[in-house]
This record gives sequence, structure tokens and C-alpha cells, in this order.
Amino acid sequence: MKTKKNGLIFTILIGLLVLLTATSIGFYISRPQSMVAANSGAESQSAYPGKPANIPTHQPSIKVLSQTVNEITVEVTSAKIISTGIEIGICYTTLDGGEWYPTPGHLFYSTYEIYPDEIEFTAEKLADGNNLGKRCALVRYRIDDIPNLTTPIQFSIMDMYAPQREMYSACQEFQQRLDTSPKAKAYGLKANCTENSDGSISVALMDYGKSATKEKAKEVLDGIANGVVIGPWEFAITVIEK
Amino acid sequence: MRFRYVRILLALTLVFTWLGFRSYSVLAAGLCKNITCEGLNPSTMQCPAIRSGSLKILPDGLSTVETRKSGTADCDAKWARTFNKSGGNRYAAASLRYGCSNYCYSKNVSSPNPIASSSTVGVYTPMHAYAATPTRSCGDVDVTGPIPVPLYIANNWCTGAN
Repeated sequence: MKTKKNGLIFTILIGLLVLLTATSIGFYISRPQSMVAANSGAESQSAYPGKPANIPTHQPSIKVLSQTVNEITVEVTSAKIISTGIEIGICYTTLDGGEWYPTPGHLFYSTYEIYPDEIEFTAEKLADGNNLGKRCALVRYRIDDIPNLTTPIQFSIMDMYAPQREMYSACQEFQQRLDTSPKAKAYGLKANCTENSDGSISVALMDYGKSATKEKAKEVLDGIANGVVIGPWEFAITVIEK
Repeated sequence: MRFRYVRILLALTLVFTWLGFRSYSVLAAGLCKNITCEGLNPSTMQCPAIRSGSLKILPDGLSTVETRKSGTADCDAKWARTFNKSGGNRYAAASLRYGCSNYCYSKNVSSPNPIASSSTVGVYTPMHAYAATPTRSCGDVDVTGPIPVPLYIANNWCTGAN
């Protein structure tokens, strides 16, 4: 009699445990599983310290033109005629993990001056504190009279800027970019950030390593706080793919 | 033998419960998700975002408008963002267009006062639920204002479909 009772209790216990296990498996499956998807497009980084991540660029149709200004290197990787005008491929290094955008200048050829129309970003590796980042994009200009297009065309990037991302407050944005800047890491920069009533920020240098002077450390810190790197990066393009 | 089954079931329960909580705490981002984000401020809701489609450069040659997207693992929503980069103080506006065959619905923002030319602070619309929704984003900056919204669709100041 006692054995039968024990058997019934054991069966109920096993049944409850099976139910509990199934519930926990269901709970696990219902959670988001992909870190990449949750990380807003961040990709893995190159293993070469201080060097931009090696990412695929556009198929080069012209000799790659390259220029470095204020530590940012811009490469022109392609130039071709498209249905709406001209499309110029560029890749550029990014100094920290911010969302860096280029400001394209006007395009000049013969006596014409053309405003930029749109930018399509094609590839991205974020800086992570050890490696610089790299971004590639296609810059498009609308040109109605393509048959009269003559070379060389003068193309430029005026500046690079890193807007504040919606998920961060102004100081969180600054701190994220400070943490992912290889230069700030090399100089051992530590800073205090306060948000002003007008939405701007004030940053104060708190500490820096022996490898930097105070002036240099402050210069790097101000650069990160401003989120703008002034160029220009200028190119004369002589070959355009049709 | 009987207690072996009990131990296995207990171990499985603990492991999957732990994995469930771990994936939730590490990976979930943003304070709302799809329909609960409708009409809310993406910044207040701390929604991680990337661009969706191309960045449109407005007719002044400097200011920009773009569609922002927070993925399905985060807020699962979209909105439009305009930057006044004209070099002077301007009124700024953005419209996220969606729905119908001609994007007949919209979420809008229009600055009540001129805002400073800035490449770091822009204006953005409230969110529309579901990142997979086909949208176009339209932007405008002007010396007079406030700019009436919604902005109508034209290739000169709207992104392509994204």
C-alpha cells in the first residue's frame, strides 16, 4: 500500500518536473538569440592594432586615389556613370566607434557645379579602442546632361561628422566614442562629461598617460567631444566607368 | 534509476531558465517594442538604430534627411531624422511616410523655432511600429517657419523607398 502511494507521488513529481522543464525551454526559445542583430549592425573587428579594419571595398574600376587629412584617410575606389548621373565610391577611416558621416562637396567639371544628391553606405567596421574603423559609401550626383560630361571632375569631402545617436544621451555618446577611440586609449584619457541646458556638453580632462602631453591629451579629448573632423579631402578624377 | 530522471529534469530546468534570463538581459535593447513604440520618441525609449536606405542630401547641398531603423531584436520601429547643416539657423522638419500605395500616412516633426546649424543634433519624428514597414523619409530646412507638415513626397527632398 505504502509502495503504491510512493509510486503515485513520484509519478506526479516527475510530471510536474517535465512541465517545468518544458516551460523553461519555451522561455529560453522565446528570448532574442542574436547579439549581432541587437547590436545595431556592429561587426567584428580586425585583429591589427591601430590599423583600420580590413573590409571588402567596391571593385576598383579606377586607380584608387587616397588622401589623408587630420588622421582620416579617404580613398576614392570607383567612379561611374549611372542612370541619374555620377556615382563615386569612397572608403574612409573612422577614429572611434561613432556613426561617422561624410559631407560631400560640390562636384566640378568644365564650367559646371553640381550639388550632391544622396549617399548610400555599403560596408562598415566600427572602431573598438584598439583598431580604427572603416566605412565605405557611394556618393551620387544628379546630372541631366551626361553626354557633355568632361574629365577631370573635381570631387571632395568637406568634413566628417558623428551625430548623436538616439539611444544615447549627449554624455553617453561622448563616453562611448571615448571608450572606442584607439588614440584616447593609447593616451590613457579619462574625462568627466556634463550636459548643459542647451543640449551641448562640457568635458573636463581628468587623467592622461605619460605618452601624451596635457595639450595633446586635451586636443584629442576636444576632438572627440566635437564630433567633427574638418577636411577637405580633394580629388581630381580622370577615369569614369560607363 | 528513478532519481536519475529527477536530477536530469532539474538540471535541464535550471540550465534553460538561466539561458533564458541571460539572453534577455544581455541582448534586449530599447524600452518598447513594435506596436508599443508607435508614436513615441526614439531617444526617450533608448532605441538603438541604424540607417535604413540612403542618406538624402537636401537642396541646400548640405542638410540631410534619412530613415532610421531599430531592428526587430531591439525596438522594431522606424523614424525620420533631419539635420540642419546649412551653416545658419533654420527651421527644420521631417516626415516619415508609410502606408497605402503612395505612402499616405506620416509621422512628423517641425521645429517651433529656428535651430542652429549642427552636424550632431537633428530633429526626428516619433516612431512608427515595425522596422519592415516600407517607408520614405522627407526633410526640409527653411529660413521661414514653422514648416507645415506632413512634407509632401518629391525626389528633391525625400529618400527613396526603404
